[in-house]
Amino acid sequence: MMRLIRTLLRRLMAVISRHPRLKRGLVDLVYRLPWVDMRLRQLASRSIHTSAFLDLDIERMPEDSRRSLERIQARMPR
Amino acid sequence: MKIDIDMQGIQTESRHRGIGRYTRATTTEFLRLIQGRHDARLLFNAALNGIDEPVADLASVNLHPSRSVFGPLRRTAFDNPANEARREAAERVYSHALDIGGADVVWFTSLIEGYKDDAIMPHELPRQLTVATLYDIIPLHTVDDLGQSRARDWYMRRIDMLRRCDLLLAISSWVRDDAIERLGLDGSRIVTIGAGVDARFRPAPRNEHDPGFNRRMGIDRPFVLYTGGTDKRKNVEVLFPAFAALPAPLRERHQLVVVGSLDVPTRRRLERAARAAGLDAAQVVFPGHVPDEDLIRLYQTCALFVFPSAQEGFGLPPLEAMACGAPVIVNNATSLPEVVNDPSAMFDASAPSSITAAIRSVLEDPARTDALREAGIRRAGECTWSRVAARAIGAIEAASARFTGEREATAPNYAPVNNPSDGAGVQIPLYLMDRTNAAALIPTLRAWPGLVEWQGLFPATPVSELDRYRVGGWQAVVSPEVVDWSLVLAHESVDVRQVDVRQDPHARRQWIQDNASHPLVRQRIAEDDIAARVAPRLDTADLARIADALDRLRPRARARWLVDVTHIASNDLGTGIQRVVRSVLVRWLRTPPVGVRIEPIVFRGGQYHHAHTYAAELLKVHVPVGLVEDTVAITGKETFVGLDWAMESLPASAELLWTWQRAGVGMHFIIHDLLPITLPEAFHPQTRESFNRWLQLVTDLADAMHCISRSTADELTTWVRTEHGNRMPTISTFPLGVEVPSTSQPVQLDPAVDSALSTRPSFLMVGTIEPRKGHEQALDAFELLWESNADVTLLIVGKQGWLVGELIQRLERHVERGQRLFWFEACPDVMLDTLYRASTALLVPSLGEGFGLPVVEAAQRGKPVIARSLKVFREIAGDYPSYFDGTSPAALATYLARWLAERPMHAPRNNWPTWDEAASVLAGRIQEVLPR
Repeated sequence: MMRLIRTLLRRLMAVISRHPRLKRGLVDLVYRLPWVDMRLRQLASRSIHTSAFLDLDIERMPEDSRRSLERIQARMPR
Repeated sequence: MKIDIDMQGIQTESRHRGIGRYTRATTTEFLRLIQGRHDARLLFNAALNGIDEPVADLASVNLHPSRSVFGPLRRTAFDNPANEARREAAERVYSHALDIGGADVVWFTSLIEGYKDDAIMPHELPRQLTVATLYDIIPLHTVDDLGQSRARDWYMRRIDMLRRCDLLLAISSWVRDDAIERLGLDGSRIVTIGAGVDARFRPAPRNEHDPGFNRRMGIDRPFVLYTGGTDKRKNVEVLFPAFAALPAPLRERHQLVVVGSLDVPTRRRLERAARAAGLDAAQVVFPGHVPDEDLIRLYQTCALFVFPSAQEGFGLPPLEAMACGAPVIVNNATSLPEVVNDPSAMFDASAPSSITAAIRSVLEDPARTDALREAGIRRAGECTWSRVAARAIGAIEAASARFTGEREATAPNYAPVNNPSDGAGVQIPLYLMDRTNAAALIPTLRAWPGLVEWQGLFPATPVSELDRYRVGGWQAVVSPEVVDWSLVLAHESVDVRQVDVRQDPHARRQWIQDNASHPLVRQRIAEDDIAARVAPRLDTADLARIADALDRLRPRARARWLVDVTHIASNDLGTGIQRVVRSVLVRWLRTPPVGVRIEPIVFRGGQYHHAHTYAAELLKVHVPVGLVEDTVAITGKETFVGLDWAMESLPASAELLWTWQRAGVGMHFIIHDLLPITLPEAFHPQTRESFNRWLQLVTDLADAMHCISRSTADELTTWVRTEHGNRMPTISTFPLGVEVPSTSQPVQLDPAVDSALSTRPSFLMVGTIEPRKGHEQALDAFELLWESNADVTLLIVGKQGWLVGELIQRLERHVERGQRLFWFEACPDVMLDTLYRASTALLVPSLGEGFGLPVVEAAQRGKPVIARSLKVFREIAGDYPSYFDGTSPAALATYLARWLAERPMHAPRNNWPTWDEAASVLAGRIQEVLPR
């Protein structure tokens, strides 16, 4: 559910950012509702910057580490 | 002598026990005493907590030893059979870490770790002189109690490793004797170093009273104290019948206080035992775990400290109690007689009547109490951590002098090969290369690093962009001459040897021998070992983690500075801060500090990646073909530079940055201003909150914070002292650079603007339109001037910012717009230069600035500046500007009218540095600071 909301929010933000006047109008409108303003900004920030991932991303391993992995795999007994 | 000290004993649960306390105290004193004599490096395990506190403690006493953090390799605890292969592989990685560390001595502060946690011990005993602290081998006394369990298997393996160490540092003579007897060790390999007591443990100052303390602890009368563990050998339960057997009047005048961490079942067991002895809840108090300051007060105020433990390797609590002036009695067993060193202070814990008699003899005899107190203080005074560390150093130095040599290392196998992956038993290929086969062999060399014997001249063809980047980073991409073929070959191989003819087998053999300990050679041997023995039992994800941990141990030739460009890379708004980021970074990329490689990075999808696209855009080159934006790997020798204002992304990336910081990565942040704190009304509440959170995080993380002005540095110092309260990072300043674009040809302005500039005095304002910039006051002032028939022009250059909706409407609909009022929302640098030169003066009514770059830019062009009297402007520009005060439109209008009438001469301008100089100063500031 959260993922869906984040995706929708991200798309909405992309549309808004392409229309500066619309963006300004919405910003002015939302600014009059401080609690909503705050929550939306926090949500937007979180949707852009996902939390740190502390494990190794195997798909995007550093080049040297990947070479080491490939050597180990190549030298494993068949 | 180089000494590696394994610190896992203060990372596991042991850190909450005597082992943790012992390790921290001994290590601190050891490091202090060896300064100038030996080099020490602390080894930590990234999979475990407990790095921050000891490192901070050492830094607080001005000790900054180098450290190495291996892993993280998780889910390796011995108790779970499913971890078997992971643990075996991790042990091999740790063995490799010790192998290539270059130390003469490896000291394990606690070898008996890793049963329920992810502590890792080496697969094999290191080749170097191996030392271990020996706390006790008490479980061996009752090893049958462990049955045929995994716990027994684990313990016996650890004991076997202890037995094979070259030197054991025993914490008491009893432990030493016990080990000689039970492990059959030669006494010359075990040295008693004893234990000490912190200076914090001392008698209470005379006038110190805290009437609420006893009430908080549940104590309402004089008390007999015990503190320590509650497992069987600690013998705590024997205290209840012994205390209950005291004469009733004596017993009722006292309470028995049992201090220590108690889980619910243990607490119930002890309460049952107390009740069974006839003691009610008022007579026995269980305060649970107490912090050290409370423990010290309990020691200082107890009527008697009693310690009935049946088996102790040392027994720190009696020593601490003695240091605090408590009368102490202990069981006459194992190491305890050695600790108290007073036969009159002992009892036989196997006979409760003996304990009762001993307690009674103290509580009923004030003279005996005083005698025990004095003897205890004297004895504790002999036991300092400094003496313990000195004995350890003496023992290690003596053992080192006797050490006959390293244990045999696995020798690498070499062979000239065409396809190393098929070379069974061959770990290190020998490449016989020349111009004719270089292009074909280099991809193989890259995958299978080995020795390169090069014959003849190097190729005449240029090195590819990708290879230039690999070897020399972005500097080599923009300056091809920095990297030649010899550097490419050296980068990819173990070593390169140039020969005229291949006819000298002796020289070749010697060359091979000389490279046997090269880190890459040792890594290949470790890789093959893991491949043959463990890899088939690991899944790809685990194997990738092992390979990554292994590879990151390899020392890199050049330091790397990781410059965070997360925000500017995705959205360059052209703000003043982003101009600074671009100006510094582009110079660092083109001409990095000596020995440093600059890597811009972005935080994306929860990890930091290389920002190759952004770097290429900044340098106006294309990304080398084949260069991917892979994740950033840390070896611990890097420096992180938060050049940009990463207010939004830092809360998400902070957790990762903490792991980097623990691994030894230096942390530096650029602080442009504190305006959301000093001028809160000029910012959105969300911005204020985000800024505050960012500044808190940055201050926690930073080794150093580099401010763009002294004013900002002063504000930051005050803020850290008053609002942050924790440690104070290094705070430095560096100047921003100023460079006037060398445009000889001004751009063609709009005719209306051109006419306005040429026919009447004009004032230019430069900066984002936001509340603190003072646009509103300026517009009001100009309306007053226009009303009073002053014929002046106001030019505003700057994008629309925040909280200025009404002002923007005024600007857009203003009757003077296009006549005497102009707003340029988008203004390229060349056009701004033209406006600077054509206008009469720069107007800066800003209420707060971190630096105020337009002031300097105008002054560089010899243009008069009218600025609000801010501290930062006076710091940056001195007496060059004409300063005004007052926030009312009338005050500014009056000042401008007078200025126009008088046209005062401005003072000579300062000499500001160029961006080259500014980038160089900042680099110097970063290099001055040692990481924590």
